[in-house]
Amino acid sequence: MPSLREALQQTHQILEASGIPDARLEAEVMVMNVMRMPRQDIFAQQELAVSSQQQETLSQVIDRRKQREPLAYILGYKEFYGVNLLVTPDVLIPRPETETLVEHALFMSLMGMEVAHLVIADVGTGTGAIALNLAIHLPAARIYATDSSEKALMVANYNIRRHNVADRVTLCHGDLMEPLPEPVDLIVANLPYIPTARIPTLQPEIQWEPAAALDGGEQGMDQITRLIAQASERLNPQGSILLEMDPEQVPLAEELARQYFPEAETGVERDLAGLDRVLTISRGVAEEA
Amino acid sequence: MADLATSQNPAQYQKLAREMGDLQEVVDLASQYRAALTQLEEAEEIIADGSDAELVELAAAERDQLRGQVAQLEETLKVLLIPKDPNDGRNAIVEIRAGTGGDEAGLFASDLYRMYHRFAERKGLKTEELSSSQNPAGGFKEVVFAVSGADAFGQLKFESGVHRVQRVPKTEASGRIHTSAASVAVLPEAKEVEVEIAPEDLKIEVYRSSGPGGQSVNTTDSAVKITHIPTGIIVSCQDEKSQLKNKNKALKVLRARLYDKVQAEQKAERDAARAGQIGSGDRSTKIRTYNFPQGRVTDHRIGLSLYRLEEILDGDFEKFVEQLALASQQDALAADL
Repeated sequence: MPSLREALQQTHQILEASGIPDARLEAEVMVMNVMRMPRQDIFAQQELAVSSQQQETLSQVIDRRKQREPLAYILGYKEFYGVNLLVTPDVLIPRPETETLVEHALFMSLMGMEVAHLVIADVGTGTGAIALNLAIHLPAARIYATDSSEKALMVANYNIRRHNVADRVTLCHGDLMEPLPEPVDLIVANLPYIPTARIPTLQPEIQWEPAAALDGGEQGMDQITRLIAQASERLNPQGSILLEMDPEQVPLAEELARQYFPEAETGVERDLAGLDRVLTISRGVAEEA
Repeated sequence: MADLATSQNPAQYQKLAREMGDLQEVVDLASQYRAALTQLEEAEEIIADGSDAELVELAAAERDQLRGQVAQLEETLKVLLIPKDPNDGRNAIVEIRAGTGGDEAGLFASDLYRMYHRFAERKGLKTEELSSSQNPAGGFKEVVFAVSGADAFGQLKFESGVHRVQRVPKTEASGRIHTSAASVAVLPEAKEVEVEIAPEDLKIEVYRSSGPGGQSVNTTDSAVKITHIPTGIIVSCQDEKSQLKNKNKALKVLRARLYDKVQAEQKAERDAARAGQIGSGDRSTKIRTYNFPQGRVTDHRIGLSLYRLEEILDGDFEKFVEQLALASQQDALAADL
């Protein structure tokens, strides 16, 4: 029977030969999951024997990955902002850039707003990643998480229950903000923002993700535009909006914000790669005398 | 400790309680010492007086016993009064780096990792990997991990230095013995409040695709690399977990390295007059040799050889820690005279 060390090496080689990026890292994650061991045990027990059943499971994982199925779908989870989330092919796999969105939403909530009465809407929630993490870190907030996909909402439902925030996160099925029962203080959204034509040019893993969660129309701005247009009636006077997008979309979105929220202050936050990633629209900022 | 403010601050209370426990030990022993001295004096008086032969005999016997007691108590008190390394109780950050010897050194680095991991298990300590970089042969170029639990740093601090291995490498067909090395650095974990890191002093870098990133990219890697601009220290953490976790891990390691740097500078000033102390050697000192053909591990600082290589590599090196601690104490005593 092969040792853990050998299994790791072999897996690494196969993945690399198939052109899988981060082959070494992925090999480790696969072995960790199949052997049900945390990372440090993998290295401390390199001579451990891998059973034939474990070998079989590992083979299956590798075969699926060779088809470029995203690792997160194969393993069924993705960690985001310190929390393990269930992911299925019905949802977009959370990206690290969205952690920037969560961080800024938390920062704004704790700094500026009256935390006791905070009502938040996470529009297009997918896995529930954003809503969940806001609920965890803002114990007094009430959060609505909407999505047009019922299947995605099932995943979100699992995640909010699993992390014990179901009492403060309400899932709403419908188009953008339409199902919201009341106006909110904060709107956060990671809506599909990739231009339609770009999608087929992206890496194979992305072709496995739901198109509805990625496709933003010709310029990638369709969903964002509709949201900004809708938001005015559903956002409280002192409220704010945080939208994730691509760097080149920021000027267009800012223009829209000026159009629909002429009195608001806009800003742009960068992600850890230094790219413009989050547009902030703050309404009802006190006017200087 | 009876102060109301303290009783409402559990961390402070605990710290004071521990201090009191330590002081109590010294106070108790000091009382015993004084009592024994008084009794010794009394016995000497009786003997000097000499009027009652029976009493003198009893006193003489008591005197001998008391002299032994007094000497022992003196020794124990001296040791207790050596200032403890305040870092002993902290968690530790351990860094293992493969040295000369190519792949073989990398494999040895991973043997050492396993040794410390098993040591931690035996001692009820927890390990957490923070960052690692492997070489293709299955060993480590570098691995950084945290060890937490009671006196983690105190138990591992003597491991800092260069560890040398002499054996026939797995890859060696001719059966010749090679010598290779790996260096170990053990740092005390630093709390956020102890090391001030200004956000503008940090350059944080992440994986960058050539395109716009965001939804357009789907990777398993969320590696974070942090450069501390003023000192040039670079820490990178890569795994499949969230970018946030990787950033926090990297900051943890950075804090420990910065704290260590400050401590080392202070220590260098203090130790300017003291050479050759256990634990004060710089990290490039060869401290231990693991000789496989002889099944022997030798610690060069105390000249101790143990013929239990397998057990030692399985984390059973308590004996070294014990003897090194003792030697360190003796050095401290000698230096204070």
